[in-house]
Amino acid sequence: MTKLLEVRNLALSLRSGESPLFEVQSFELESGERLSLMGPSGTGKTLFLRSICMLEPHATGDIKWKGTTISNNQIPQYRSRVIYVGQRSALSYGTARSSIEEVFKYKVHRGRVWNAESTRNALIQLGKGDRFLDKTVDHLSGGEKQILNILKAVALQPEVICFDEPTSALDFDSTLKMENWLKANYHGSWIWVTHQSDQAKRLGKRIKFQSLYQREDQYSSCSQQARRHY
Amino acid sequence: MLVRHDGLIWAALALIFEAGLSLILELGLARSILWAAIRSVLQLSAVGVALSWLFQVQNTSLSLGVICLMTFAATHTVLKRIPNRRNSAYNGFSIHVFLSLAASAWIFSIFAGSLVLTPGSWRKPEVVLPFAGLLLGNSISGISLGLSQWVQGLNLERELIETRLAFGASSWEAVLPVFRQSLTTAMTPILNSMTVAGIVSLPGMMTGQLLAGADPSSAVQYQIAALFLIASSTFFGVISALFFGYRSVFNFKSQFQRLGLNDQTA
Repeated sequence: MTKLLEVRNLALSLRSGESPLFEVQSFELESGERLSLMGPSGTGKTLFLRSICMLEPHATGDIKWKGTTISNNQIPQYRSRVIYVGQRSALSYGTARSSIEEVFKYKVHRGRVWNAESTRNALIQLGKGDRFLDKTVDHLSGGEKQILNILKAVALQPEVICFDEPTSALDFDSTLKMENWLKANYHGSWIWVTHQSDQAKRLGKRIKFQSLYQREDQYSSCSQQARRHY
Repeated sequence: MLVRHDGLIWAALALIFEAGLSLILELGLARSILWAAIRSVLQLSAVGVALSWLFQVQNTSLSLGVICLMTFAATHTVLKRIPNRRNSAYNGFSIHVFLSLAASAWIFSIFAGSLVLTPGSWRKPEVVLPFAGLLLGNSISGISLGLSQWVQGLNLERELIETRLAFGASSWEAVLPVFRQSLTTAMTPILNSMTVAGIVSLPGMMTGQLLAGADPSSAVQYQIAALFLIASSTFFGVISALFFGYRSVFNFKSQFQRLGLNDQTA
């Protein structure tokens, strides 16, 4: 398997001069690998994912994508391959359909075509009717917005999706359906933050965020060790 | 047509009558009316004295100095009109406002004075000073409307902008809806006044010229030129303020910065 992501010495302080909220000495993600990330609230899991996606201005460290460092002007391109899907991703005014169409208009996605059929099939499997795509986004429930964001990300067929509690507003049944649909229809890697250990078990190799982050010599190393630990 | 020799006294009597009425009916407006009247007399007399001196001296660099002062005053006015600036704006804000006002008013005053009005008239203080004032006044309203909308939009749509970035949008694509909305808001007043010009009311500049006895067709020409120049300079000023803003809220990694001023100067 080829290494998609190699992260070294990633740290983030909320204010300059303060001690960092987290420090990850080494983190790697291989092609097709699926990780579920758990850890107490407030330890910086969200910021860790956002830093990996290069969305955090205050993050420092080295991120390599397929072995090369990402230059500044390649960042949008990189983000189109490593998509961050938050718990609450905001949506532009309009219908669910126009919200998906919007992202396909970005320059980095030029040449990609939205496979609307596949999205519709997903919605049927998830028990959402045909009319879902025509609903305006302010008529979607919190859970439906989460479904829309997941399907939007998958429609772009990125190599990695950083899921940040993407199903937190879904009931148990819908969560399972969503997971199963993803396992069958999305072929990339993911890093999935969750607070439920059951879900973590279902989704991939489990990593405890605490053991990912380094405080001096408390933990000698990286995800590899953490994984062995489990 | 000029004011007759005792005209001002009659105009003042009309105002004093209103103040008296307010006093008798206990409307509580007499003080404000009188104070406003006194202020307008003092300010305009001072300006009158200053202008006749400037027109007499005919010194180009002196006029430019005056325009500079006017631009500072305009900057101050714009900054006062941005709600909650300290928490919602970004560093360099006041410099952006000054530069945008200067760029729009100065460039278009010189442009007007050399290509639109009688050639070479940009050197004449009696042309360039009122014109710079006209352009600055309109840029103040445009830039303050545009920047208020911009700052508000950035704060309200912060999550949306971040989400667009997360899905691969460039910083420009992420912020374009807010940018467009701000520009539209800023341009609406001048576009409106161009649309209704002559139908609802005569523009102030044209009214003045007609009262001063100018030929209507030349007053019309002058007014059309003025409207075009006002619209262009407002557009230019707003665009430049917004572009400065766009550069300031993203870093070179296309990351959206935290808003709010963190020093005392900006």
